[in-house]
Amino acid sequence: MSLFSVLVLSISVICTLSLIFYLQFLLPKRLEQRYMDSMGAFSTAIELRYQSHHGKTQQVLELTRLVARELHLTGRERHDLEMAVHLRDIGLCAIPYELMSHTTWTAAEKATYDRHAEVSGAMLELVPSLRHLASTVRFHHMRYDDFPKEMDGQVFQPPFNAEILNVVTAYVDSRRIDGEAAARKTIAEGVGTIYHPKVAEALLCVITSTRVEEPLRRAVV
Amino acid sequence: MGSHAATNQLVRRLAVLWGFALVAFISLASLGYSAPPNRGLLAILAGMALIAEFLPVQLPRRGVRITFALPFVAAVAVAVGITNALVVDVVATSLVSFFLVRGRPSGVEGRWLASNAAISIISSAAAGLVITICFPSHTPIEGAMILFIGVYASVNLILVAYVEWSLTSRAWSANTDIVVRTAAIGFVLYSLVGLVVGVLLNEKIYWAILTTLIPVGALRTGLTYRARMDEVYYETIHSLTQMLQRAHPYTHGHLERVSRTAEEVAYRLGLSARRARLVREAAVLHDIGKIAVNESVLDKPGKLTEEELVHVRRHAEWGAEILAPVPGFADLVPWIRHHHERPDGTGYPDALPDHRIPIECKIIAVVDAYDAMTGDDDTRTRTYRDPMSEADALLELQRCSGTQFDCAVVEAFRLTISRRFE
Repeated sequence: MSLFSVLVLSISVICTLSLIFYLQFLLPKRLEQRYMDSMGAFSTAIELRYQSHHGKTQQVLELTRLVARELHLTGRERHDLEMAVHLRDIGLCAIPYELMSHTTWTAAEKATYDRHAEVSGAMLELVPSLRHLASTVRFHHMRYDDFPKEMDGQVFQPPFNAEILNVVTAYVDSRRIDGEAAARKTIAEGVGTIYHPKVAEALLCVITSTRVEEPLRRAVV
Repeated sequence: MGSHAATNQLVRRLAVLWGFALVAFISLASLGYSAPPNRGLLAILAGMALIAEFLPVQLPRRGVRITFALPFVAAVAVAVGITNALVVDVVATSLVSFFLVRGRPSGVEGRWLASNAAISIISSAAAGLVITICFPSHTPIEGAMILFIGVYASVNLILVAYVEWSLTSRAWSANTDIVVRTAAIGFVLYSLVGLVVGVLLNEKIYWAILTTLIPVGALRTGLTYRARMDEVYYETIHSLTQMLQRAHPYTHGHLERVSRTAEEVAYRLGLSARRARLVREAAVLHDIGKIAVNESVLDKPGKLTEEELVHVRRHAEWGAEILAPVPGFADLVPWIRHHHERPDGTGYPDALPDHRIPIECKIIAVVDAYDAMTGDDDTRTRTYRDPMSEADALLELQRCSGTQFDCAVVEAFRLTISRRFE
């Protein structure tokens, strides 16, 4: 075999191995990061529309990460959960601007607001790469004891990620309005009825853990 | 151009292409056909060309389908015979085409794929003729293969650009940079694989040619990731506009019209194809900040108060803020922020002087203003007056030329619009 052939084949083997390493370990992380950054545009848009939501996504995100770790979710599940955090409220863009500035709501206004999860889910259904998150987003404000129930002739149970979002967003919302003690009480009182017991316990465990003090401070302060 | 007219145009171009393909085939056949000296090698290379052809990567919304069959077709040309290479290429392309269009109701895809087959024949024949002239004995194999790949890739891309040019009526120069860039990337990737195949042929280690599917697979995976990133990019644009349309339903149609025209104006002003595409995407997103604007203010009939005006005007900053986290929108962010700046320096949000306003912002400003003035059905609800006629709107743009709008952009826009009415 000529020197030229040996050189070409050696270089091609090295290049192929490097390419495989890059594709296997580096590129997926870059793609995932880019994906997550894109999702940030949606939550930013909603937080700009409704000043009362300012900074909420970051708080929900930090706390969700801690709860997901506590529940030993896989990397894929955590990734989907974080995307759902960014997308959970995109349906709020269809809610009248004025409504969000009201301090108290009539029953009709409350019903209008409550539709945002359904609208968010419907919007995600239209996007092929986000369709798998539609169910998580659609049911992220449901009561735990409402399910399983029959839908379209089949027994339906919302995705577990929806249960996590339900608990975390409820805690963050309550804490932003009424403070830490009231938020904790809200969750504790809803265990097994409004909130999934396993998720609620994980959240309560996380917020009382000294090991996670710093991320938690970032999340809820 | 309507879809019917585009189809007719395509059929006409197809007839021309097939005419050339026939001439190319006859020219090649006149060189003489010889039975393949090594049927086993032909079977291996043809099989690999077929496998590579069956694993294409489709780049979203660009109509570009990349396959890795070329290095193996080149190997057939050099090691087995040029006529055999042409047959392998056409059979592989046609088989894949058949499976791709099978079951599709429209005949347009079939015509597109027929044009692909014609382009393959012409490219193979041209590459075969060139290597026959430059390397009559096809040695050194590596040199002959790389030349084959280079000629094939160039002819192929020029013909693809020709078809696109004839269908879109864009200036030929508008496609040049895309063709050159795609040709360069394709040539490098194909040549790398081709070089390895050539070395293995030269050393007569035929079985090892099968292992070249590993780098081909890796390159394919890389391109698939790239395609995925493109898809995410377009889906993000689509989803954001969906949000805007939910918040302000009147935007339906307006964004589509503005983006299409803005791209045409960009081409007319001599911007590159990549830049024109970015202008189109920026035009779709230019009002994205209005998601954060109170719809009752935006749709208010009559004059806005000072406070309301300030609120509405913040949409330019908010738009930039929304898009800022997305790395793919880095080029677009300043254009979105400054699309209400004016050459006389009295625009918002930063009151930039003329020389600091990007041309892309000026294009969007003109097209947006025209569409708002002429207001199609869905935009009438937001304009507080009856829509203007096209002629009056053009006069208004010209009246504000040099103060509110850039003179060159207004002129380019006028020519673009006039062409539509011809």
